[in-house]
Amino acid sequence: MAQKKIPFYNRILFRLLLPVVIVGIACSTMLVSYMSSPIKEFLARQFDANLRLASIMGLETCENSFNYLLELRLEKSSEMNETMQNEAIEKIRSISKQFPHINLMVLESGKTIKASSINGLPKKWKGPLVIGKDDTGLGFTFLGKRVRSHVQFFPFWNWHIISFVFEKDYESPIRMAYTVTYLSALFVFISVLGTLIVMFYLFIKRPLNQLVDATEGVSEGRLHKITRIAANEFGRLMTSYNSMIDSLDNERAEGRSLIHQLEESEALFRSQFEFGNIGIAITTVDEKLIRANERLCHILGYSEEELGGKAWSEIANPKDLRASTISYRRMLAGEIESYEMDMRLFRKKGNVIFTHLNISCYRNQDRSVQFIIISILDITNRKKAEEALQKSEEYLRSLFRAAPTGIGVVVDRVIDQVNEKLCMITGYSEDEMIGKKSRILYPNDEEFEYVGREKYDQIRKYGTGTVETRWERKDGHIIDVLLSSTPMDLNDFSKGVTFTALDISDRKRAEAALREANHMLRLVLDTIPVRVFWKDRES
Amino acid sequence: MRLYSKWSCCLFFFIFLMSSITHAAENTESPIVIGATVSLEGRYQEPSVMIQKAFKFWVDRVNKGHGLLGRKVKLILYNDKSDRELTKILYKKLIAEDKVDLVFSPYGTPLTLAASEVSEEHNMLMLGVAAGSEKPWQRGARYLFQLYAPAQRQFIGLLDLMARKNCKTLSVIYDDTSDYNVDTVNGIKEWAKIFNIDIVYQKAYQDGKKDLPALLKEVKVKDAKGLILSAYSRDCYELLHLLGEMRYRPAVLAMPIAPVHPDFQNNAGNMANHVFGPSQWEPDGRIPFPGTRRFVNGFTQFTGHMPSYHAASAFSACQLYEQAITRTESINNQKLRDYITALDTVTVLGRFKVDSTGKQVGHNSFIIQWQNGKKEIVWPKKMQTASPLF
Repeated sequence: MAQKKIPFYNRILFRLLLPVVIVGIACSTMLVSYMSSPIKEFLARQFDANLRLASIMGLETCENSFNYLLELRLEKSSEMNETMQNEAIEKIRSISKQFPHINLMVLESGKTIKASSINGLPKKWKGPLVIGKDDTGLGFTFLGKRVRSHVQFFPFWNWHIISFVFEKDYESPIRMAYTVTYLSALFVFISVLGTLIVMFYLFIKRPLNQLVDATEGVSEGRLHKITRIAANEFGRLMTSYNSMIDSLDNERAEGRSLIHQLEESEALFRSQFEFGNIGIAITTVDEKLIRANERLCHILGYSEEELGGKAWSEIANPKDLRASTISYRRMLAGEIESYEMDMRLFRKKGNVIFTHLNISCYRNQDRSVQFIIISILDITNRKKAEEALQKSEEYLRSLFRAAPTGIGVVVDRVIDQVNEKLCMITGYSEDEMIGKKSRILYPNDEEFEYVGREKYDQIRKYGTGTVETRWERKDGHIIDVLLSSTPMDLNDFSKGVTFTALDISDRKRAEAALREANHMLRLVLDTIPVRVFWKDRES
Repeated sequence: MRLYSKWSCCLFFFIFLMSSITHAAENTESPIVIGATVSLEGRYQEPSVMIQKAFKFWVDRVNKGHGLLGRKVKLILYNDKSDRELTKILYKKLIAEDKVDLVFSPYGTPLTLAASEVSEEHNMLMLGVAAGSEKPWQRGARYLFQLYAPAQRQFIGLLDLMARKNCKTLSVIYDDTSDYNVDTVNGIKEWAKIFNIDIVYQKAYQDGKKDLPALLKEVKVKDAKGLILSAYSRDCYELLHLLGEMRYRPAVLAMPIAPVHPDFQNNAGNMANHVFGPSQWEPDGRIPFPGTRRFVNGFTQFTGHMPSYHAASAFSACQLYEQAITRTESINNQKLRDYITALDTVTVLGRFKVDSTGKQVGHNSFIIQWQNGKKEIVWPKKMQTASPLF
């Protein structure tokens, strides 16, 4: 339980740091123990070297003075010697200033302190001295303190040039070296630790956090890409994650689009289902109604509850139902997706209505049918209208056939329909005329043009046009024809113009005979010497 | 006009003739003759041969150049057989018969003393190329000048080193037939006192071959820390031989002259190791005197031997002559003497400066020690090539 409370990163950090801390402490201890001894030795050597150097420099100062005296051949001059000694002492004092903590002292004849870099020393030397052994390190007590020293002997003046350091000063750099070593080890350790923590934070915790946050975000539905990509395995993981997010995003977008489409489709279906002019029934495969829309309820006169669970066979005409069996089976078998048919349905009241059905199915992924969707269009009125129209057509057709005058329809003066009487008048068969220009009926173009002009002028003026004209029969006989035409649509002649043609050749001939008889009678009456008169039956 | 032209032509011809004659006379001018004796036999032979070679090397170098004052240099050298009387005779001959323009000194204080007696008589300048003793300059000589650091000062360095190493007892034996050695021992005594070194044994002798064995037995009895033999080369080698035989070797063994010779190791064998000696000069490139490297290379090439300080001293004397003649543009001995008296310069040997008596006061000797077949400078410290081994 306790482990669960520690955050994952801290567990890693802990597991990472603990060995580092242990190893670091071990290494630091080893380093300190390993380094401190050589450092101490090095510093001791360094200090001894400085002590030696200081005393040698003091000795060299004396040697230079000696050489100078030798060159001048004044080595026996006490005055010159004293001068050179004083000069050498000053130089020796200045040498001690070049070496921190190192003091220089000139001991004359091993008994008297001639000079020293420390002021206020007694004149008489009380310390030990191995006179004559130059260039030697020596430890002794001086002024009540332990000192470490180096001695150079300069025999010409019988001087011992002693460089010395109080052990306190001598050991201080060694102590400092220890401190520095420990501090360095500590610093290195802290640096390593700090660096490790920082590196852990930068290269492990932060990217891991990013990944965890991002992944958690995904589980919560937030698809955020990781922006800072590390240049390591985490970076690769992040890049993969981002790619995953991209594809998820795309799929999500596609899903949203699909949902949107589905929603639209569903809305459309719903509106169609609820408010459409078409009745919709959803049935099971064994044709039991699951749902029915309001329109269907209205068409059939049932409520939705009444229709629920009702078998399709209960409301369908069994004969029509049987007729759809083959198509229905084919659809279930997957050979067709849908089919249409007209079907008579029984309303609640028992009366029959004519419907046009569109039957389709909704399939599962394995293409098995989940349910059947039946769109029902009430075509009772249409059926009735069709029947009426059919009757009207049949009536017209019988009229067309039985009419004593020739009747035809032209569209743009092209013959479209003709009745038998017209065939008899013109001598052409129906096939010979249909599709031909009506010009074939005229003896010449003038007549054809004249009729067209006159008749259509009248139609435009009066809605109908009647004109007497002459046609040329197929056998070449010219007949007089009274031609009456009425357009199907007054505003659009292209829909066709119905015409009747009456053969008035006999009447024309009778009129001509009558006119001739009248003329003969007039002529007779005018020429005969008798008065002739006519009275009607009343008068 | 025609007459004038004729005289002009004659004048030009005359001038041309005269200049040609003068030029020819210059070219055929007699060489500057410098005379000296060298000891090709006797006790001084070894160092003296070095001096002879140095003279010849210098003459060769000068004559290959422009000569001195445009004149060649001719060197007349006689063998003095390390003999004082013969030396005297030969210098008389050089001055009187050979009519030399200048003379070099022979080797060693005794011969220099003898030769300088003659040169002083004739007011001839003489540079003492190898005289360490002060005696020649205690007679009031006017034309004699010293090049070496005085004998009394030659062991200062060694005594200084001994004092530093706490070698507080010393035995000294010396050849008292030579003023040089007597002076040397006097100096040792004087400086030992300064350095608080106790001379526990001191004996003079005349015949090294005969006297040295007995003396050495006494030295051994005293068993002082150091032993100094002040003698010429032959006795030095004899001492080493005897020490070898006796299987006795004090901590410090020192002697003059012999150890500075390049062949010391060959002559003395293993006994040469750790032997100290005073040296006026060493053929070491690290010696900070101008021309040292060129001299060492030139001398070695010319003679086939490395030079000893004797050669350097002789060459240094030649350099001083050369400088004096060139500067004074004369070979007049008086002029040359005056010039050298006032001179303070540095030659291959080191500093040259003399006091009013002609004694060297500018040059100091140093201490060498043979260490594993190699001659090292151990004192003074500023010229040290190795630390002294005791």
